[in-house]
Amino acid sequence: MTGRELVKAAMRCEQVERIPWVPFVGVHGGHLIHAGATDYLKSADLILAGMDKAIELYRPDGLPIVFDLQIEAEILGCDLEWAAENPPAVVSHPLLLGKTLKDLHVPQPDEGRLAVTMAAARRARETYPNVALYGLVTGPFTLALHLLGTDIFMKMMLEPDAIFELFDFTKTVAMAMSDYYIDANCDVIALVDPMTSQIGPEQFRQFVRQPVTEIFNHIRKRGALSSFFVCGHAQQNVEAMCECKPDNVSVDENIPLDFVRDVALPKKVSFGGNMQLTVILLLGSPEDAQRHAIECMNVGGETGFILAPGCDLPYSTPIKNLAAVADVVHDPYQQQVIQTLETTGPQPDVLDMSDYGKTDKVIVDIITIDSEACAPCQYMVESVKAVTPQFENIVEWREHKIKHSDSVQFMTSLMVKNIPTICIDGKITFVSRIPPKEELIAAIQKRIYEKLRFRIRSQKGRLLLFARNEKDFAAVRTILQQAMREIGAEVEIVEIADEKKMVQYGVVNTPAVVTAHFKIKSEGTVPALAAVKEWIKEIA
Amino acid sequence: MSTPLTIITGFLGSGKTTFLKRVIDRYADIKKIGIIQNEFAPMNVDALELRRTGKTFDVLEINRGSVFCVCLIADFQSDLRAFIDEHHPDVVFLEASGLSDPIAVVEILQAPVLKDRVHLAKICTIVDASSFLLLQQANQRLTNQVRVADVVIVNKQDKAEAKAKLEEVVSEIRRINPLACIIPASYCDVDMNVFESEVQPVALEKRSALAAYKSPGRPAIGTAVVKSTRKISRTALDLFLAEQLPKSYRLKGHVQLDDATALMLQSTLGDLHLVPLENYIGPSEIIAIGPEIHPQNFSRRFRELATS
Repeated sequence: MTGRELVKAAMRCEQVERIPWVPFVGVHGGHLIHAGATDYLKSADLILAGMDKAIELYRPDGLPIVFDLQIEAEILGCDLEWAAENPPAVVSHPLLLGKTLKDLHVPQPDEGRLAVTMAAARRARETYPNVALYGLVTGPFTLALHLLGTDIFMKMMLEPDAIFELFDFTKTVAMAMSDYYIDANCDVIALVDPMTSQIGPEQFRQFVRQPVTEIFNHIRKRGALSSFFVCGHAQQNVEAMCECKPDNVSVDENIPLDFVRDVALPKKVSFGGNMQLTVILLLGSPEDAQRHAIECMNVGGETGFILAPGCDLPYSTPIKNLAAVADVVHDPYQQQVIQTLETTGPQPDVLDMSDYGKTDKVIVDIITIDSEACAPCQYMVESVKAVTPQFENIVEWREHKIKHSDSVQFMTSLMVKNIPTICIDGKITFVSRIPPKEELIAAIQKRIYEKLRFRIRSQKGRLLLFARNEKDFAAVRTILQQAMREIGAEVEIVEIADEKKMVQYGVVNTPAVVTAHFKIKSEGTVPALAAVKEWIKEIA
Repeated sequence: MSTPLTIITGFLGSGKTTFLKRVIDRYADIKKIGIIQNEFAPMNVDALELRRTGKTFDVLEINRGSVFCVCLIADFQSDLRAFIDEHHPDVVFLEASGLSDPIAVVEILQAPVLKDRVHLAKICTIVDASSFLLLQQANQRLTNQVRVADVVIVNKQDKAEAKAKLEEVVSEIRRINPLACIIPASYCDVDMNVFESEVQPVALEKRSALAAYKSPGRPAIGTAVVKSTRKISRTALDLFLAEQLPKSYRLKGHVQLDDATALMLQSTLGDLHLVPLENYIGPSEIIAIGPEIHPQNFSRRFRELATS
């Protein structure tokens, strides 16, 4: 299934093989291509370049063309204040400044920034036949607020008829906008009405339900899918929103996802959301973002759920955080890893591993979810198991299953981030990849050589003194100690009386002095002080 | 040193700008005041009005329009940092848009770029007593703004109709937020001492600790917010509070418990008040302010203790 098909299937509440992911890239697209929000939202070329980059980095199944709730308002005469890193803000309200509804007209597709937006939509459709495209339309309540300002709330109570009339106009605008996006072959029309969070269910049913229902009916008749986006504390209105019969509702972090799921799905309305924008996506780490994505996906499930941020992504959302979400969406195995880590419990303290791997043997640690329960882990463990016998007890292997908290502690202490991972003597060597036999053998051998080299090097400062009686030992020892004192150096003196060892070192006559490098310096005699000093200088 | 920031919120026309004028009158000669405005009135009259006071203060106007939601204020962090680094204000008052969610503003204070620079001092919500009951029916956000407030100024007592409704308005505010300090006022003429001391009452033996908190040489103070739709058991909440209270000068918020009830909580220097909260639908939101508060850990710990 393509991403586009996945989104459509999820929208229709069909079970899908993978949860679709729709990052709401609005002005953040500008950030991706180093363009300011003002330039970005005014240029089809820049919007397309931003979408290109977002598709490359985030591998989305669906993407909005733009996320800008001021396009209609601007055409209808609202003044805008532009910003470098935000969509523009409405700063004047024509209906407050003497205009009446009769003075306003339904925006045409070639007017204002609609021309740019629709051009971007058409070109995106040609370029990305496999990505679901979202056309975002300002909801009738939010557009009404733009036109009238906050007086709207008093008027709702005191002059409801005037508000019905205003909503009738903003509904017509939203229908026209939906038509333009559908004509440009967008798949989903998202009616974005954040003002919904400002009112209670009574006001919603009184003012908003009817116009919005008509808009969704219209979109359905035109053969497109619809979504109702809200943000803010709108939990009280979720049920009423579903009554408007959109195909989908999308919410932000202020509404529990399980609540939306339980209200929407029985009404055959799919749902989406609700990744935290500020704390997780903007300020958190890639790991936070992944954990949070999994949490949302677990609640959302594979029927009728679309993973998305709660709202328009902030301009400077770190790319790595969203790319990390994409990784976890596209890789079920990564999902399993993060889930296991999450259930293992809080992060324990990190151990001091500076001395790890200094034993005589080479230790191969394999960090897994559980080799009995996950295929990549199993293959990795088997690959290690297969090569260790040929090292004849020099190599030991151990599996650390992150289901257990002590394994998580071990993993964190070694700074392992991905699973499965092979560490050789505490050093991360193979990450998420099962090495071919030869490569694994080579890596272990390399470590054995390293240890050997280290051992030889650390033996540098040693003199071996061979003798067969205490008198010889004492005579040579006195000379060696005097030499050390005189030149101010210290070397280790190892006294050996074992005949077998003498044979190993090729010593026949004693007393004899041999350096750690197996060189016999003197044999059958007590060496001269001056000579000993030279030997010590060589090896100290 | 960390600068205390007070959020002023309230519906358009409730008296936020009047309140700021009072702040400027009271403090501009003795403190370096920073004002942040995030309300778009036509022609930006608010900023003009403030300038007419003739006093010295610094203003940051942020273009976030009639902010509805979290997304539009996220980038505000860099503006705020630049403002503080440039002007070094002693205190900052942020006038939030009447439609904005104060908790979303507080979330921004957790940003690493603002660490050790700014912390939340108070949230003050101003309501117009004459229109509050009516507007509150139409606008849910107004209720939310009252719920998260430390101080609610019930303004416009000069108007006869507002005065007549005072009792009813106060009782409605008390129902929404049982722990807020409620002050009736005309033209926002309130005792500014409320903004100097912490939430009353503070036990005498704790005054010295409070003084340390407020002294110029105070340590860096952090702000942390957890906003979670996970429900928490009362036992887990008690554990969370037992862990967090010793690290917090102040801690406040509202919590959805797993038995479908809600609680409002508030603590100053460990004096914890917990009261039941009626008819609350929405996420748990807790703010903590203190020298050892770590935003990510604070939020993570709550999530761990709460069931999903």
